[in-house]
Formats: sequence, structure tokens, C-alpha cells
Amino acid sequence: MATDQLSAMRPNAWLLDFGQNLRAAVGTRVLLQIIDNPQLHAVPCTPPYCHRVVSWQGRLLPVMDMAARLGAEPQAARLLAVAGFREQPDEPTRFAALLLSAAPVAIAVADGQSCPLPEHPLGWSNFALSCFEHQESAVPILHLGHIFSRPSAI
Amino acid sequence: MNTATLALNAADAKEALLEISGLHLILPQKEIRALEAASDIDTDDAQPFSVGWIQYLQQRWPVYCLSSELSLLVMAPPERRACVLLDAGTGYVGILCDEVSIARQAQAQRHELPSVMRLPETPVLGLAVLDGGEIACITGGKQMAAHVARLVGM
Repeated sequence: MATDQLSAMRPNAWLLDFGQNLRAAVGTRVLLQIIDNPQLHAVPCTPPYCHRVVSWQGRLLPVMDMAARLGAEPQAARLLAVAGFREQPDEPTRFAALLLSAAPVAIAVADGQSCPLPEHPLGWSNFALSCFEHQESAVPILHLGHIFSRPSAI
Repeated sequence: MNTATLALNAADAKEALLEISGLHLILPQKEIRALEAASDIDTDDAQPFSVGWIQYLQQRWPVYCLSSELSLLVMAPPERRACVLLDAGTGYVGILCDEVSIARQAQAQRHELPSVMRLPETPVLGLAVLDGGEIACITGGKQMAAHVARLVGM
């Protein structure tokens, strides 16, 4: 799709930056809030990629470090994206938080941009619904239901 | 030895709040069989990975020192001033703490541990938000004893 056609579209995705050249996207309705420098609470005996919670609207949300989840260095960032998602339309909305290395960017994505998942890191195949090309890079679309499932499920 | 057996009134269920280097643990008071000063622990002939022994019911039981990540410490920090003796089901195990307090049940708002954070054999059964906004991990005597047993390879 030509760039001028894309620029005429309304943004329908957020581009998320996990540092170390790891980027992914979610739909615009998934991302509910960005929190700068929130108070995080460590919980012992939890996976290294998700060992903290944040208090949000009366809930305790797991804080996922996608860089660490993909086997890269843990992020030092203090920016959180709160996400709400449902695996099935009749299921209740689940809430969770993703650690970000930079503020998300709204982008427009069209069907014609679909492409294979990045070859590295290998873990993307477990955590992505699909993938699209954006500015000459492959950007996975996060499968939040898998990402926030039990550690043994992946 | 100055052992204080904690009184238990079944009609007035209470919970113990343990503090270990900033980590808060909540467990039923009835699962704490004794509370000792750390200075009363017999450090002679300590078992591997333990810091000494505590006397209870004419027997001695091993005492362990944990970090805020619930990993074993072989040297007890000076702030570990108290020792709780937990009912492990088939025996007892001592855990060093900075502070121990007793509170009525259900003062704290309770939450499930998010599924993505739930590792097999974790001693953390859930989370609670304390009055000051701090997070406490809900556990039990048997879970803590089993966790220590795994750490020392028993």
C-alpha cells in the first residue's frame, strides 16, 4: 500500500517499544492508559520476566517485561502500558501491564502489510497473532492472551 | 529460653504479618506455633543452610533465614530480630523475620496471584494490599516449610 494511502487512514494500532530493537503492536482499543514511573511491587517466586505488580483501579496487574520474556536483557524503563483484552468475545476483559522503553506511537496498519514474523528472537511465534511490515521492519501483533497465560502453558 | 506460644481463639481468627527486608507475608496466626527472639536461637551445630535451632515441645527444629526474594541466606542480617516457628504439617520450621504483628482477618484487600506469575510450587497463594498501599504475599506454614525444604534440597 502506498504511503500516501496509509497516511490517509485513521490510526488503528499502537506501536510499542520494548528496547533493544524489540517492537510490537496492539490495537488502539487494547491500550487503556500509559503510566509514567508507577510504583511497582516485587513478588517473590515469580518468573523473572513478570515479577512485579502495579496497583491500578483497585486491581493488581502483572507487569510484563517483553524484552526479558523474549530472552533479551530486562528493560530498565519505568513506563507502563495498561492493556485490556479478551480472548473470546463472551469472556470478561482481562487487564495487564507491559513495560515500555518509549512512549507508544499511533500508526495505521492495513491488511496488505502482513508479513512473516521476525526470525529473531524465536519466542515471537509464541506471543504474536500475526505480523505486519512497518518502515521496513516486521512488527508482531501481540497475543496478550498467550503472553499473560500461566508460565507452563507456553 | 523465652518461648511465647501465641494464643489462638478459634472464634477470632487472626493473621500474622511477617516482614522480611521489606517483603510482607500474611499467614494464619494459628500456623505460627511459637515466637522467639532471634537472640535465643541456638547456633551450635546448625544444619547446612540453616542458621541454628529453636526448641519446641522438647525437640529442636531448624531455623532458616530468607531474603526478600525468599531465597536462603546463610548469614542472618542484624534486622532479623524475631523467629517464628511454623507448623509444617509433619514438624516445625523456624523462619527469621524483622517484624511480626498480628491483625484481624480481612483488613487487607485480597487478590489472586496473576496466572502468568504463578510458578509451580510457589509458596505465594495470593496478594493483599495493606493499609499503606504496600503489597503483602499471602502464604501458609506448610507452603513456607515446603519452600524451604526445596531450597535446602530436603
